[in-house]
Amino acid sequence: MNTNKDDENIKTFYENRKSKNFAVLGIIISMVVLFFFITILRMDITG
Amino acid sequence: MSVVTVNTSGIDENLNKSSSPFDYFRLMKPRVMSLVVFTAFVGYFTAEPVESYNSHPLLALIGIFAIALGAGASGALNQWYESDIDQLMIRTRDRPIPKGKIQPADALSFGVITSLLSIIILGLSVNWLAASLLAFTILFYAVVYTIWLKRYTVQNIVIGGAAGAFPPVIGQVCATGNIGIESLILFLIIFLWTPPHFWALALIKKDDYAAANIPMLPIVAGEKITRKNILIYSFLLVPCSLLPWIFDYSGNLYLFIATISGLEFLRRSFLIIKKVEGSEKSLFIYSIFYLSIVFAGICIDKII
Repeated sequence: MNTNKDDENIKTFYENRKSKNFAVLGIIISMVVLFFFITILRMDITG
Repeated sequence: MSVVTVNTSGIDENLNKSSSPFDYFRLMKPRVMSLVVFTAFVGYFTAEPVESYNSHPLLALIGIFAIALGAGASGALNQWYESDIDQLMIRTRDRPIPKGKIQPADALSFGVITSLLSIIILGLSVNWLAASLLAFTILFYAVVYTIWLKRYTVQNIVIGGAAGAFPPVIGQVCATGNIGIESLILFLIIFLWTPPHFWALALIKKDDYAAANIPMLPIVAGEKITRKNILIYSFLLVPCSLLPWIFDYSGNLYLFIATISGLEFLRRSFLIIKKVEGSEKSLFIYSIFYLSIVFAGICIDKII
């Protein structure tokens, strides 16, 4: 049986996890954009 | 990113210990990162262009970012391994791991992932020689210095100083694809600058290092020998700072800047030998300014 404090902790945990998942998603997207630019710029040099 | 275990008695304590992006930024030692970026940029900027090597300024910028990321990654790995002694030292007890903001396992994962990312980004954007040098630097700092040297030898910061001296070499490889004498001179300047800088800090924080059982020179050999060694390295450093002028990579303006700032460095080192009150802190703070002004001097001289 969970106490009120446990419920609060679970809520905080899910909120924290959600914000961290968004941060990871942001990093992945920025890496995709970065690697895209690297590819384009390298094509510019070699081409 | 905390490890969460739900047991029958309730929820684990770690549940509410959330870390912010700023904690991860602090894990990367931002002040060291800024110095690495600056010295790498000087290495890049002062390199003589090579016709056969094609480079793009934006790719070089991404390369500098990758070097900064690599420096941050090695800082994170360093803080992960040293979390036990960081708790014992006043200077480091506010770091994210001892504070409980970041779990050690998370710091390790973060350090490993950012290390790999920085190497891949540098390899793809610039060249693989620069990337392999960055990989070597990260390994040197995280393994050779942090794990092997720091806790076991009095020469820890002398040999470990090489890790901090590599960024200008990587910077030059980013610009030319090769390692040249210009960047090796910059390497030598940082390498010789490191011992007086850190021994001055060790004299100030002697009790802190002793509490953590780190064999810094003042603890192992005593203050007198440390002060003498600071002066010896200062006498090696100042003439070496003139090498860019001797090899004709820099002009008279740099000679002027390096000579004046070098003489001041020697003066402060002499004050340390004389045990003048506050001379250790004075040299420590000035040494940061000295390295900045010498490296900035190389850039200013090149621009003018």
